[in-house]
Amino acid sequence: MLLEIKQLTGGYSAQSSVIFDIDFTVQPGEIVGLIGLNGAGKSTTIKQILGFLRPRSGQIRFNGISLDEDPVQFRRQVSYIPETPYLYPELTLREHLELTAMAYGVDRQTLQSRQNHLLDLFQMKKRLDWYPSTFSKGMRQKVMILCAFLIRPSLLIVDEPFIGLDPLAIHSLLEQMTELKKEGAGILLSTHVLATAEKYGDRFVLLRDGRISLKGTLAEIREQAGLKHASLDDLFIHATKEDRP
Amino acid sequence: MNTHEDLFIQRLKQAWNKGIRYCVLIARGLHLIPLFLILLVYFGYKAFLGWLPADFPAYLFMALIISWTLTQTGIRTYLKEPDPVFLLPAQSILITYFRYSLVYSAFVQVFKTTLWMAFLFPLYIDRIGGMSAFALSLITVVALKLWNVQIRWLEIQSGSHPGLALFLRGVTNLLATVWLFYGGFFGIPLIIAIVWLALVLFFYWKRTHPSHIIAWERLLAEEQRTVARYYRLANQFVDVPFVGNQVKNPPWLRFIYRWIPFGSKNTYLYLYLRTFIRYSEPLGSVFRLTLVTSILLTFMPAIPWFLTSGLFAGGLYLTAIQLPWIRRIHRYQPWFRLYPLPEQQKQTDLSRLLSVLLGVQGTLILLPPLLLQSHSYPLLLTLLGAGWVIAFFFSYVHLPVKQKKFPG
Repeated sequence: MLLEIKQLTGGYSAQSSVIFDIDFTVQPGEIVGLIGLNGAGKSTTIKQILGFLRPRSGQIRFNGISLDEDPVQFRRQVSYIPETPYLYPELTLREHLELTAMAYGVDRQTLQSRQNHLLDLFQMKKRLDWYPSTFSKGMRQKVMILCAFLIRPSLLIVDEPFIGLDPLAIHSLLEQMTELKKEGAGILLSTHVLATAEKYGDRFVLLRDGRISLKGTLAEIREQAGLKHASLDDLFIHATKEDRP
Repeated sequence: MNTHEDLFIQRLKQAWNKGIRYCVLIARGLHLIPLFLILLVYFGYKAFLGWLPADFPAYLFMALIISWTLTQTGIRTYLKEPDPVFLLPAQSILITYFRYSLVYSAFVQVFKTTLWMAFLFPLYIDRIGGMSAFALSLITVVALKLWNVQIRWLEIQSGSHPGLALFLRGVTNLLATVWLFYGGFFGIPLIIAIVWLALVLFFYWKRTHPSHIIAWERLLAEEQRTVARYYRLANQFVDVPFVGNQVKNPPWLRFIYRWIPFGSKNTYLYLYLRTFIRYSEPLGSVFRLTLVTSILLTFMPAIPWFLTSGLFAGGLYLTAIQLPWIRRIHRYQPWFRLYPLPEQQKQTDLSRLLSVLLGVQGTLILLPPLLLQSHSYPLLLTLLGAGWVIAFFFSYVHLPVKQKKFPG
């Protein structure tokens, strides 16, 4: 088991929680879609996993170890693409890649070959010596994607990556995610693009008001919802409307 | 907010309140230093007037200062980034808003110019003319300032090249003030000047878009530059959470990057070095402090050894307290928090950089006094050693202890 979340409860302050009793796993070689309305707790769950927020209770284990037990080992295999591109304004694209390689112990030769491939794939080769201030939102997002794939992580956590990307970049991103999955990595993908999630996801976690409302493969959540031939879109609408006035 | 007048006034009040709070904060930290500075300027000015040779071209000196302050014309709009979206539909609000902004900017600019004229008043009376001539000059300078404000506004609105307007205003201001302070301005030259000013005004007015087309980007950029300048100034004295900081890559410092080998043990050093070199602050402030301390040491050879040492240590200390910002600015960057490296390395890499920076700064400060032999060699060599000891102590002892007490 790659990532194991058990009874996770937490939020932005010690007094109040945003997510409650979250329980799911990400296995090697699978994509898990984390789905929910705005404010359902997707980003909070991700922040808890990455250690940006401290859980009030529950456990987060990566390959059996928790962040507190061995933060360096925990983080070495994890890569993250945040929802908002947040780059170093003082570094060029080339330097972002170099810095990432240095931090994750990727040697120069490997950096060079992976970098060339990724730059071609995302049409960023000409921008290597540009600074983030000259990048569009989509380009900034691409820099985050390039850095995340540069380290070939065992676990990739992606928070709403498709917004602002051009169709070709979305295609390349999905292609890279599929390739990474084939290599045995686990991917936790939080998104609102349900058609893509349905096509690429192996399992799904549907959050509602900070709690899991449906969980499992598409067939399993169809069964849980009692909607035999429903699409992920239908299931999502069903899960979010349930018990609402 | 009830009416459109309120919006500008409300923002104006907020800005002034914030400014006053920063001033109080800075004044608290400075203790009696501003008082000393005022006394220094007062006595220095008096001594300067006494020292001035009889053939000193006072009119040219005044013209240079006044034309510089006339050309330095800013427009305060207090615009915020979301304004183009939220205010665009409210055309009537905008017309009044910008009218207020222009009147306020004109008022502030006239006040600034009057202050300069007041400062130069003793020199004028001493060397150029009498009270009535001064009053007439003041009125002329104020009129010129109003013209500058109007041209600056039209230049922003018209989207024309800022360099041309700066050149036109600069040359006009210089010629007019030289003539004004030299004498003989009120006559034909005044008529020529008025015609010229009207021509330039007409030139820009013809190029300005109708009032419903607003140069949002230029206005916002102008506002952000002004705010950034204030923040940078305040940041010299107190810790400012937001500092509008420009990123540049000085080509003459690029050779330094090669000194850091590729490898995970240099990760943060790689980042910190670029942060230090490419942000306009604190790099600019390190340069200024190095230069000022060195000049003071070089040109004050007669002061006792403990004052020389105090000055030197003070220069290093004022630099040192600003440098931990190099790490602090990254604290919310998600990657910076995720790198799979020992947490301690964030600190040790900073200590490595700071010890060398401060050591080199100490050496550079002492180079001119050493070359010009303004102090005794034993004293300067002792200071050189002490500089490196201070650099090491601050970086490897003081800073880690402080970091543990106030993490973040």
